[in-house]
Amino acid sequence: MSSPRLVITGANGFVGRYVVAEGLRRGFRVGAVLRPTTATSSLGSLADHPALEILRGDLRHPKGLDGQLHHDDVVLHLAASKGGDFGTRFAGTVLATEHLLANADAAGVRDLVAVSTFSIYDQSAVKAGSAFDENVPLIAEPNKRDDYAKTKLVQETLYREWGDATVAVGPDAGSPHRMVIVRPGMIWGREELWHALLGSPLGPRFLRIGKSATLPLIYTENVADALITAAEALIDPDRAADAHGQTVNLVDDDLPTQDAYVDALAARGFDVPASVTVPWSMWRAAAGAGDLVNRALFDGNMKLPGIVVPEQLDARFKPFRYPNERAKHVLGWRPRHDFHTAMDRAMSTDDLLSIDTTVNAAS
Amino acid sequence: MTSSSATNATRRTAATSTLRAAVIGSGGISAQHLGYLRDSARADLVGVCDLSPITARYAGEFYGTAGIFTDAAQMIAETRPDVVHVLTPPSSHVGLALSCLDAGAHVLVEKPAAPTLPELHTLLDKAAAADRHVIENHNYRFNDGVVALADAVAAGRLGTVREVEIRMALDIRSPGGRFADENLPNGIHKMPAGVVHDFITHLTYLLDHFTSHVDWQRIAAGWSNHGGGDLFTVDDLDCTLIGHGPEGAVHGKLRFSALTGPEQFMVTVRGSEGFGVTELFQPYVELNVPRAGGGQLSPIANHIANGRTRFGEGFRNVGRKLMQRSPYHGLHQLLDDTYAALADGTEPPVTPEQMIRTASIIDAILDPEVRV
Repeated sequence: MSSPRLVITGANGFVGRYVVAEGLRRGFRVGAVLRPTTATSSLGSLADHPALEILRGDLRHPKGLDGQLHHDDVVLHLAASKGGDFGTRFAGTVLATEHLLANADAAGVRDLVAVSTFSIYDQSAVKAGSAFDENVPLIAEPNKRDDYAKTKLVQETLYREWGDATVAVGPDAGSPHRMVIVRPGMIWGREELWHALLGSPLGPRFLRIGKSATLPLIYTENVADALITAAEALIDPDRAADAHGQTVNLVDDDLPTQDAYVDALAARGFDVPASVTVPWSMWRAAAGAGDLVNRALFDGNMKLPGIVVPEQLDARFKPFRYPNERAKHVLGWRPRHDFHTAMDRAMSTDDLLSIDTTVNAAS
Repeated sequence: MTSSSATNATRRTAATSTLRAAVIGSGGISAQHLGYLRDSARADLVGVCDLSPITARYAGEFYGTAGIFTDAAQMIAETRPDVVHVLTPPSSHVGLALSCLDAGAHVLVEKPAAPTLPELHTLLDKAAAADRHVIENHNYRFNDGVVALADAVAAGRLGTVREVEIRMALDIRSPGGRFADENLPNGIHKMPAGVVHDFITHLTYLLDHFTSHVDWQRIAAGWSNHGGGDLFTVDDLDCTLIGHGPEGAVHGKLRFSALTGPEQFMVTVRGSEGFGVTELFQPYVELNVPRAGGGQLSPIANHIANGRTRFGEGFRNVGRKLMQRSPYHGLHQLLDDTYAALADGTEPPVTPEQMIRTASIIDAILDPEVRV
């Protein structure tokens, strides 16, 4: 029996291209979902791989992938909207997921690797310095968080309802869906080296908030490895039962602090923006005071920039420890590249998407 | 998912002050309508409907109603609303509004209520026969700046109105924007005025607001697609209207631009004695009118008065942003006035005559005979 096809949404995105590459390296047929007008060349050197199929569709449309899925596909859903107003994000994340799952149901698809995010956790509900794992509560008051977190939270509701349902049609009709939800931390890589966990632009400079918080990072090639490993776990008869229904956080092993991350970038020639650094505790205290004033005088109705909203600050800068044992246990995954190796790769000129058989052997 | 826990409550009479409200279409603009309905004592939100189950569910949970539907007919049958807000894409407005009227509900419909004047007449005739109201969203008429200009005109501070210019600049062609998305083409491009049809009702009812007495006799409309391509049929309108009112000649100017920045929405009213300007996106009002001190001192007095206004508006606009008082505040006022009128049995603030005049101007502008 041939191995199932991996259908990867958001295939030409920042992470998606690495997931496509990793799927091809592991010998899968890969269906890369691209929007109708997206050039195939956006997949770079992967575009001509003989095991790659291009699936055309816009998931914001109800029939985005209608008729293009097969019952034995494993769907890896990466596509999401990270920009625009709430409506744009809702369409690109929530509607897209609703439509994808409906299209999958119509085809009798059983397996889903559902990509979520750390952003849906309620960091304010956890004591600083504690272990931040899958038991951290989810956002209780979405209005205090940004649109990305709000829409990803709704998306996970859809995931869970799908995961609790059974296959409606096809050879697996009546069987329960199989699904793993993965919540990556901040994904970084060659395409996104300077990120929101370091601070925020402030005019011509960059406002760095804190120096010593451990960053919940995962490197692009490592997250791609984890997602394909999750797909393999779902279709492995010996592992599927343990994997189904699980939610796992994805972070690397050797996580740097904010300072160590910036130093590693600078040591490799990255042009670090001119920055002003403020201590986390001072900035957070000021934001907390502002929040009190907002509540006391304006009934909390004043809409302030996220960089001074306590809940949004906590989500980005509050210091925690980040274990990854559950992902290792459920998926049998280990981060392939340590931090400094990952940094070397990200800052190199190597083609990280090449289908190198030596990587196969290593994995 | 097509479910509801809404009750089949008996329709409330016009004597009660709280009207049962339902919403069809939970995208984009619905947040403004639903926000009002959630917060207002005049309305009781009994149902939301969207073709997308998760969208309907999100709206229902966020705005506080258990009446969540994906089928409009089912929602109307089960919730028996007094008022239905039709907030779907424009091409579906007439059909949905007619079915709401059939069910005995008043209809508050987003602009344009109908794609053409004959279809608007069909809708309004049906409403009249059913003794119901159809109210098209003319929200910017109720913004503070427009109200201030209208008050100045009514007080005679500008003299006789001679020219009205409505100018909107929007960056509708930026990649990733909802109108420029090649992957999921916006249905508005198929309307008679292309993407401009999404805004032309605003331009036109504002013109009519200050020139309702004018018979437009000469019109020249330049429709352009400056950005080119196949997706956009139009992205620019430059229209001049010349007419006569009871006190003589009046000029109108309607301008929509996708090329100029920053984004703005300006209303300028020029009279025989003075002129007033308001900007609706970054609100301010300027009046250049005869001041105490006579003709020679008025220019200086206007400079001082308007300078003080602009300086103060800078701070007030920061406050408006922080307190989330958006350019849609006029919509909330329109809705409040409408609900009050419907509850009291009086004429709503947007009348059939205003809607017909607005649609008539749009039809005239779209006439191939006036294209330049």
